Amino acid sequence: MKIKTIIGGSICLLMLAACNDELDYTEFNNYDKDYVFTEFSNTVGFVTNIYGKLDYDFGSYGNGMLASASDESEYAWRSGSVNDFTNGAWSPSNAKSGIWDGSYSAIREANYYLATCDKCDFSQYKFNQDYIAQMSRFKRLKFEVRFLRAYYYFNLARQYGAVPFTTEVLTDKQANGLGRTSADDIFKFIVGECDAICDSLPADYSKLGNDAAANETGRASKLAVLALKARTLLYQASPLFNEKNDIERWHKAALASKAVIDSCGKYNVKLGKYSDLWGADNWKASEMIYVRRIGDLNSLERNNFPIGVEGGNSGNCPTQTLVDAYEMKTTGMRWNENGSGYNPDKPYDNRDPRLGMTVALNGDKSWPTYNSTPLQTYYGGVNGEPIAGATPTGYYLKKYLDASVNVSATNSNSKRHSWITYRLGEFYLDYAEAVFKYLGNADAKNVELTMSASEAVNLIRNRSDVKMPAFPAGLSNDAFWNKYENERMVELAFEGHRFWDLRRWKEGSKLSSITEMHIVKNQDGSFSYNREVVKRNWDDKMYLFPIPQSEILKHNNSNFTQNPGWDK
Amino acid sequence: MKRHILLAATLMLGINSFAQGLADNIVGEIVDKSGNPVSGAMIGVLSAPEIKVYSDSHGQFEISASQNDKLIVDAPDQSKKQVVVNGNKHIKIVMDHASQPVNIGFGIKQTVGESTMSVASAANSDFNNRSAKNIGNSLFGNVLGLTTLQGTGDYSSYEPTFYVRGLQTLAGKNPLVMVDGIERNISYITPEEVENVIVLKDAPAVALYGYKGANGAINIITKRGKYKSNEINFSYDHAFNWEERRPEFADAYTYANAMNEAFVNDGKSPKYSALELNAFQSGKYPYLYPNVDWIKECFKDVGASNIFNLSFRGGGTRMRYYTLINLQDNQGFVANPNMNDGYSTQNKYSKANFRTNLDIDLTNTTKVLVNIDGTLLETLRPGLSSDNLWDKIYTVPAASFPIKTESGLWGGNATWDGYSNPVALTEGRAYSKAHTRALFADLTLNQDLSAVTKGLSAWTRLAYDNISAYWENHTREYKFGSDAVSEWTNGEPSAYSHYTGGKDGTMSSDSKLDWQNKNFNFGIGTNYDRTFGDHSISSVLMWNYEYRNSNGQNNTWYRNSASLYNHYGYKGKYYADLSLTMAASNKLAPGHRWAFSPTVSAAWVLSKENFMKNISFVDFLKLRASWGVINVDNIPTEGYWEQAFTGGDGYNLGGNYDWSSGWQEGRLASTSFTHEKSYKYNLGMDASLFKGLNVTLDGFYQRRSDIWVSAGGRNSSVLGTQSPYTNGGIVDNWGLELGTDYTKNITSDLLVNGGLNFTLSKNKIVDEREEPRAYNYLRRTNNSVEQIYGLQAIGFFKDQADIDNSPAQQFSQVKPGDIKYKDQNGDGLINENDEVKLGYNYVCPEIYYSFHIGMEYKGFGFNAMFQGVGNYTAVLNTKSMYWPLINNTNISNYYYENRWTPENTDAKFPRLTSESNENNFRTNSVWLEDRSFLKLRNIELYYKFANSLLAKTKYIKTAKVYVRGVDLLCFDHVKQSDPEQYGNNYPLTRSVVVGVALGF
Repeated sequence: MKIKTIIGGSICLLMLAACNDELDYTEFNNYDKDYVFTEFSNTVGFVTNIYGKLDYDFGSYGNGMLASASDESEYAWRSGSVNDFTNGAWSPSNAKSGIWDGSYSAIREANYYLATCDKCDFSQYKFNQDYIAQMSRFKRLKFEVRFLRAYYYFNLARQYGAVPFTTEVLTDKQANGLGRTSADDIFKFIVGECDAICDSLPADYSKLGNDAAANETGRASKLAVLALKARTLLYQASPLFNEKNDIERWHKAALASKAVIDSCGKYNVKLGKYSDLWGADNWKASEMIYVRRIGDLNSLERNNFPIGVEGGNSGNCPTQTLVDAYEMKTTGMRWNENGSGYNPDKPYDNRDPRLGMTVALNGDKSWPTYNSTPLQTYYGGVNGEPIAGATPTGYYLKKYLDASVNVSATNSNSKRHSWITYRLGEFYLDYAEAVFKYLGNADAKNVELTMSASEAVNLIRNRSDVKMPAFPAGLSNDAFWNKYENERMVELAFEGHRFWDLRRWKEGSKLSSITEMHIVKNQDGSFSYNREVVKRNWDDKMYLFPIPQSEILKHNNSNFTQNPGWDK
Repeated sequence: MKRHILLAATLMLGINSFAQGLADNIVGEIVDKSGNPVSGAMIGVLSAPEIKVYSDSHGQFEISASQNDKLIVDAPDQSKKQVVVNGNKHIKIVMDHASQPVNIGFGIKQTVGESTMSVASAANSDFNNRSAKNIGNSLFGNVLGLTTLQGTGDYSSYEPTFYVRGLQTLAGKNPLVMVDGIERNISYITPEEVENVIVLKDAPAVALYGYKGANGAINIITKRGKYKSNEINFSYDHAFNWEERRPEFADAYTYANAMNEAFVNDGKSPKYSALELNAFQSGKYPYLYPNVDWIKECFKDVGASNIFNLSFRGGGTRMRYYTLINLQDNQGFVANPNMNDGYSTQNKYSKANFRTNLDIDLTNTTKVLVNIDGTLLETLRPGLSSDNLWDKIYTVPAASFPIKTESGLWGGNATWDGYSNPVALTEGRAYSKAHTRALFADLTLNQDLSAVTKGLSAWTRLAYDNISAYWENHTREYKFGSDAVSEWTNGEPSAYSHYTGGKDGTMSSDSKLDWQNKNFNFGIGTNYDRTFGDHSISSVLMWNYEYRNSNGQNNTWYRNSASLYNHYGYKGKYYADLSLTMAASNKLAPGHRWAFSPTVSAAWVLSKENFMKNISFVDFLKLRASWGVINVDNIPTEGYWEQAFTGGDGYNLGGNYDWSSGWQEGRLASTSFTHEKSYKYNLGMDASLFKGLNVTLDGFYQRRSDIWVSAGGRNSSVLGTQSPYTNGGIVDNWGLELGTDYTKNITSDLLVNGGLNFTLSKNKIVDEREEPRAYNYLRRTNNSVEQIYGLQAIGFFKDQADIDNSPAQQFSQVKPGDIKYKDQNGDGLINENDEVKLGYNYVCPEIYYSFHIGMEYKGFGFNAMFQGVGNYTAVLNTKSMYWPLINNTNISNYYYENRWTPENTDAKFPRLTSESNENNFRTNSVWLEDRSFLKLRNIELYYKFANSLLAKTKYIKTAKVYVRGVDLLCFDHVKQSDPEQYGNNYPLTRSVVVGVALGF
């Protein structure tokens, strides 16, 4: 009896003990801080993640690009959330806050890295063969992170003006108590950072020596830092952020853009063909300063190929407003100027070659390659209204789309895509704008700014596959500005500029309507082209985004106020 | 035979029984509340536990007991009763309300008469009359306090949702569901094999289940053997099923007109020309302008199912058995399942169940219980479940494309591809198949340790369940296309465009393990049951261990608990329970895994007090009260107590675009480590009045606190990372339950019964760390869980002037005929800030009630069960049906007839539009409907053949033929669809069943 009791009791105790071990059983994988910051590749990975949060716009608003919130395009599906920007649905409670959330999450990780990296100890790897190369890369990472943090702050200030600013890793209490720092101070911080780190980053990663980052060309370079600085100064000089019209700001902007152009020259970054700006190899194009590398995908094509093409779902459709910005090839005049040579029956003949590269037109063949039927964007056509989702403007998007992508059910493929963050072309235009504003004349230049505004623009128009007539000398200021705006709209179409340019110029009223082209097929097979102006919602409050309503409510700082006009 | 045993017992125990005084032979009869004999029951004498006799098939027994002895009756349905002999030579024992079982598991079996807990139960005869696929689908209104909501889908996936006492918390709201005290899937349990369904509601009732019982528990008790009997039962049910309230969609001509109207409303020119409209109307060009009634082409009207049951129940004195063989099949509604050689594309369900429950008395003191249940299940369906056949029916208009083109291709076009073609999916897509194999087994060993000390026993239980489901894909792809007219000449189509897509494929042959569950339970305990004079005590000290695993990560759970349960009674009038449980779970944070759960409860049997003796209409009256703390191990995420670093965004950093992976800070670590707790209070009453009326009344209140919620509601995004979880949620829940049941033999030939169950359960979120809201009425706090919020519609815009003079509606551009909303905050804008609470919720009704009536006269009888709900709201946002045309969908006749037009401004629904109209198509009062309903759940007409007739057959002891109607009537406000299931999926079925049941 006694023995039985002892045995029985022991078994019970053993089982209890065994089961207590099981209580510690888990299957989740949480890695701790040490795991990340005591090993080179994971530490590098922490920075990679900050790169991974870089923005690009292949349809950030429910497949709608910001271009569709601007006058470059119209989103074919009324249900698309990008239409909220233009139909009155945009409000603090529908704040389109992806950039807000994404930037602060990147900034936190940047601050976290900068607060941590100096305490990292890799001495245990000292005798590894690649130690020196690894340390060389590691020591540079914090400068890349400072660039990235500045870049994210630029996105925030461009979008919201004054924003909460910190270089610390915040607790929730601190985050909720942060006030707003003026856009001016944010811009100053960015410029200061750029100046501080510029010389610590290489211009070309492919030319690094014994360095673990050798050939990691996706990293931020010295040129990218210069580009960020130049664009920041351009915005800081622009009317929206330069209320007192401080002319010196244009001076600084011009110098900064010139520094980009000069450095590009030094490191062999130069203008190439316009058509090289997209496609699977665009990241290698000669004028790229920084591209946001994305990867192989076909969603962009799926979301923008014409409806009526198998797999095509239609999306961001270029407007007639954009098409009208393309000048006549021969005369360099706008379609509606006297003597331009525009033929209303053949509206797409003899246009700036960039039109055909950017916009898919009625009758275009092989768009996309696997489509054997010429595009029929006219009313009743296979790709035209009244089919649900057919283009409302008469056009489909080509730029950034890869014609060789196939999204049909049985034969689909994906192709590499990269988004242009900075390219040289932009900085010729930025320079032209700044120097024009600073010197007050399209042809003016001086010893410091050795190229006139028109000269800078003409370089772009003279690409091998564009060859548009140069801006004539002696343009009036108004005439130059009109042609400059036009050129900028054309050259940078769908690259995420127009939406912001109209805002920083305070020309928001241009967003109060767009023009559509309604094409009708006549009995004899010819087409008639009818423009139709479509009203859109514009209000001056839209120069800046609304701060998300929930953020206003969560912040307990009296300095944390809504942007003007949005508080109602 | 009985006499022999009696003799033997008397001889064996001679001295003992004589010590009690002179024993007499007593003849007794045991009947249930309806007067039916209870066979196979064990009758013992309290003072002489060695004496045991058993009731025969007429419920009769004979026993030797002295005048003052108490007889103990232990019936096969686990009801128990003690009766004082009182000098009677003939005793009729009625297994009344007070003797009904209260089985809270772990071998603790009490009766209503002595229980201090809030526990409801239903017996087989209460619920086994729906010819349901499984026990879950049999429980509608039969158990007080159990809310059962009908599930959706076709027969194979058709499972109900249960709630006990409503919504009690923010997440993890479902009750614990068990079979024979072990958490198990009840999808494979047939109603035939179930003896009792027990619902455990208050704190002491669920305390022994540790972390699992806070939402209440449902315990399915399967049938066991009978003493000294041998019964063979056979039943066969054949059901004719039909889908009531199939949606009615517009024909092609109406659809085309609706599209034109929508286009014009949207400011576009009409989509279809007059010629095209004519073509749809005349049907002259069926391949170009088709008019397909997809429902008719895909589905037939009547499906069928069959249920066979063969059971053996009985045993001797040493061993009892219950064995069931169950076969079921269901044939769905696919109209043409045999269009392919060698296989069918019908929706099919076939199942075989085999259960054996054994009770073996190995020795006089050692008993073994063995329960084994095995299931083989096979389901077959056309295409893949992801093909979503009914979803396609709810999408594709009659005018979309022909079923097949003239050249024999399946129809499909750029807007709706060939995989939207419902007929192609039922005939051309081949099939997929699922197999489920389940084994549920448990074994309990019980050792009487009276040798150590009287009343002591020990037990151990092992249970192992294993279910796995396999899936075979035999689908194929196909080519599709259609022709469209591109030009008309002289009123005739003259030019066409062709569309083709997809390609013909061979049948795929892949298969995989779909899912798998493995569960292991182990328990060991000692019981101490003893009576000392007026005092009775029943205690259990036990330890239980559970391992649950399903395939995939983070699906392995270990729990264990140590419990001490005490039940004390005094004079059979006063009862008090104390239970103390320490439970542990590996879900919780280290150092915080154990939790203590104390509960106390008491009952007072008033009817046994002297002052009640003269109140003759009260047969039994008991008051109950209970309080307790129940812990919950529901967690927000695995490892919430650690700061996580997780894989972040990667980037193509390399010179060849090479990918580098990223790391980032994950969710911040929680700084609070407790777990959700439930504080439950219950007051109740059980009564039997007027020899047949049973009444149960309960009032309950519960506070759930420390519910896990995200702290993110209070944190700005400027923080830049995921907020931690915190124990910040509080939900209050309260309500009442009233159950009555009346059974009476008016004459020996006439039996009537009826009853009513009513449950009201309400709740309130006291705290959920809600994000700050711009206006007080937007707050979710202080409203109930799952409350619906939306805009208050105040009609439709009459014209542009009306729009111009109204507050700006910011969702999308509005036009006449769009919904006009109330500006709640008077800011002149209509946006998300104008959403108010509307109706109730659409998850669980606050009121759940049922009533049933029955009558039997000379073998002819009927019974009917009505069940309804109240304080329940439907959000009618089903595409095509209520939200038509947008996103290339269809339109229902109902919408078309009730739409706004300039001529019909007093309409039910807004204007037609083909564009996604954010203004109209969002949660608002136009789409809300009172979801309360009353259903006739089942009605049965039957005839039980008279014994005199059956006696001639010599073999057949009982015979019953019956006709049942299942869910035949539904009174509700939704009307167009079933109020319980109104989405774009399989409509609910109604059935007529004919059946026969024979006993041998």
